[in-house]
Amino acid sequence: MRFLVAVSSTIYSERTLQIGSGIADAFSADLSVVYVGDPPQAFLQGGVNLARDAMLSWDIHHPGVDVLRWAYQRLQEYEFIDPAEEQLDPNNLVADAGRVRVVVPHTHGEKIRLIMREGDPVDQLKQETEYRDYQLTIVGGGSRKRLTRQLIQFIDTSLLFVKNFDPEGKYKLLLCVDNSQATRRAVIFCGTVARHLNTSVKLVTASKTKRFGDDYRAAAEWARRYLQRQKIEHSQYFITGDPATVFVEEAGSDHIIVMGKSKMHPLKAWLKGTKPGDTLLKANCPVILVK
Amino acid sequence: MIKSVLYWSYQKRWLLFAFLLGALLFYLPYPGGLTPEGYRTLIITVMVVILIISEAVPLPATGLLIAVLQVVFGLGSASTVAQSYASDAVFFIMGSLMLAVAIVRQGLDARLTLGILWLTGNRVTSIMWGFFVISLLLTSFMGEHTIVAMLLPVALTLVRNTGRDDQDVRGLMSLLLFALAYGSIIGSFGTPSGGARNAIMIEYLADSGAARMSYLRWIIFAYPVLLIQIPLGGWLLTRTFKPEMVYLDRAVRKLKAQVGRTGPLTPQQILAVALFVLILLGWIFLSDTIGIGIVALGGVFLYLATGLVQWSDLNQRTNWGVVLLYAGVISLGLQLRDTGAAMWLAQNLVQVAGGLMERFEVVRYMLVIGMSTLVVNIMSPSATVAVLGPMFINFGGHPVLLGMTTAIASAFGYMTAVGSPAGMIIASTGLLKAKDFVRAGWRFTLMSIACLLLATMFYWPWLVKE
Repeated sequence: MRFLVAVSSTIYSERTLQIGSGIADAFSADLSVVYVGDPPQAFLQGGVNLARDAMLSWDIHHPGVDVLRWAYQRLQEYEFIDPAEEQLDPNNLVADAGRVRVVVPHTHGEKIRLIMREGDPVDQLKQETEYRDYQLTIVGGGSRKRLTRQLIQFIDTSLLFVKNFDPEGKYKLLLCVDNSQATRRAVIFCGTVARHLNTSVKLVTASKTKRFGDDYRAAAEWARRYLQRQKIEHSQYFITGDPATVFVEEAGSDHIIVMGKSKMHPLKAWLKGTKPGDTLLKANCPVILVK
Repeated sequence: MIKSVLYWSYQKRWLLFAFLLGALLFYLPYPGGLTPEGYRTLIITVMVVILIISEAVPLPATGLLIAVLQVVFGLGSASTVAQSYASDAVFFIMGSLMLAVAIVRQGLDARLTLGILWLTGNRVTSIMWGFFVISLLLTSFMGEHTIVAMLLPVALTLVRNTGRDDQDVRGLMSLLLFALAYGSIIGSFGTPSGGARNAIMIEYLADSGAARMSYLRWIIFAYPVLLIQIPLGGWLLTRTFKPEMVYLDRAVRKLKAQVGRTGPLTPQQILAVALFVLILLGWIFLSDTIGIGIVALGGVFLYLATGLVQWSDLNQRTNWGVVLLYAGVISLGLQLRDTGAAMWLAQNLVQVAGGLMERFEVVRYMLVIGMSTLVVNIMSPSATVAVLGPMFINFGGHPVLLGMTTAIASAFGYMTAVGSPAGMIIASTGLLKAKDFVRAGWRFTLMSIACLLLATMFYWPWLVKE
């Protein structure tokens, strides 16, 4: 498996990187760290390139290289990679497919990749996920409505939004179960994470009316049996109310919400928004949307 | 499929908007007092401004679109439009971009560093003054990006030599980086070669028959406005950013040792400096007769002929797309003038301001300065002059005064990173935030506007009377 974690700066991306490496570890996945920076205004690009060339001769690197070097050191601290491994050479860069890759010391070549891109974040992440086959994209934030909706709609992988993550906190999982096609994959994903984090799962099925349809009940039953077979501690709830509000209230700030990605018609999703999107915007905790 | 179309539409929303708006305007009746050609030129201008600001398509594509639309809208034949793409201002832009590459490649940054440190010593405020004044004076002749590209690594190395984390020396870092950038911004209007916008304005003034501004005459107009801002600007910087330390003994010592390893000036470096002096003399004494752009291209030829720079280097590092865009925008500016669209816009603006401009001349200049300053902070200095220049020259006052005011006010891109090449370069380090630009920028904007207004009211009228 391959996971992609997006970082923007050493100040704001620490938590994203920490939870990203933890989840990648749970799935024994390869991890690509991508830095997406703001591009210089095209009018002034020439001057910026000139300055960057001049700075290289003074051993001052592109800010993206510094962020990736920091990410590499953090991954060593988290023991995602061997802490004894040699440091990165920030001058060892390879340009390919409209991006720049910082070459990682030999033994980690496959386990981690460090990539630098410049441009619109959604467009760059979309290009990266189309260039290599990633299963999960991990991003920070989740509070900016337009950006969040675009990521959900256009990034064609599962998504983890690292929102209000407390590195010291002990998180449980809240699994949202409904009749959507992605629910089963969400249940399996949730099970793997729960085993790795050694935590319990709260199964929540929400309906706007008091009546829960047979398809909802069947999906909930399948999820319960799956977790039982996997010997994962769990509890199950059927709650009436607006699904997004129910999930957010039940999750509080000490759960990671896991739910399937919406399969709504793109145009309808664009105009109306989706249940996962609404949940994410309201949530006070990390949210995983499984494709 | 629908998802892809949706995605493309969203990414290209400004392109679609520009074309839809253009089509809508095209079928609307054109306003009275404006020729059909003038109206169509205004439509192209609106579309181009949207595309430049949004960067919905690569900028060179916008440069190409200007030519296509001019011919399609019947504003000129392919040959006339092609001719308007080549002018002395475009040659100057091309030449100055290549000269910047040639000069930065010579490794003169080490020499400059030693010179600055020799003048300033180890005190932080003295070093700030050194960066501010030296960048200001050099930029007035060489262009912002050349000087900032050479001095930015020096400033950053000094900060890093303190051995502290970047976050712990934010005050020091901001002080030095903004001294460099704002010094360069102020310097950039000192002479015609300080920025492409100056060359564009000289061309507009000459083509409109208002005046032929020689290199020296420009200096006589602009340099006092620049000099008066040296003490004021330096003082503002010290008031805005508080460095975490008073002296940089260790950092300067390390930097001197680092620079000292490069050894004495090489014959190539001496030749590079000599050639630049020659170019400067050419600008001062020949630009009036052969053109500022031709002198710049001659300089590039000399750097290539002496082997100080390789063509492959120039070819790789010069942003040819920007040259194409500038050529397009200048061509559009000429079209605005020739079709009477610029005059129509100016007259309407004059009407809006009513009798105020007639009663108080200062209102006219405040409008020109205000609009130029506003636009430059969202576009770029040269594009601002290229688009607004033809209109403001016809703004009812003395064209030379109005032209100079537009060109100089188009340098006041202090408030945002996109407002100037120097601002963009220091922002590209990733070490500054947008609010840093606002924090320092509003003070510098007010200072520069006040200095420029004083010049337009009391100094320049005296010059044009002579």
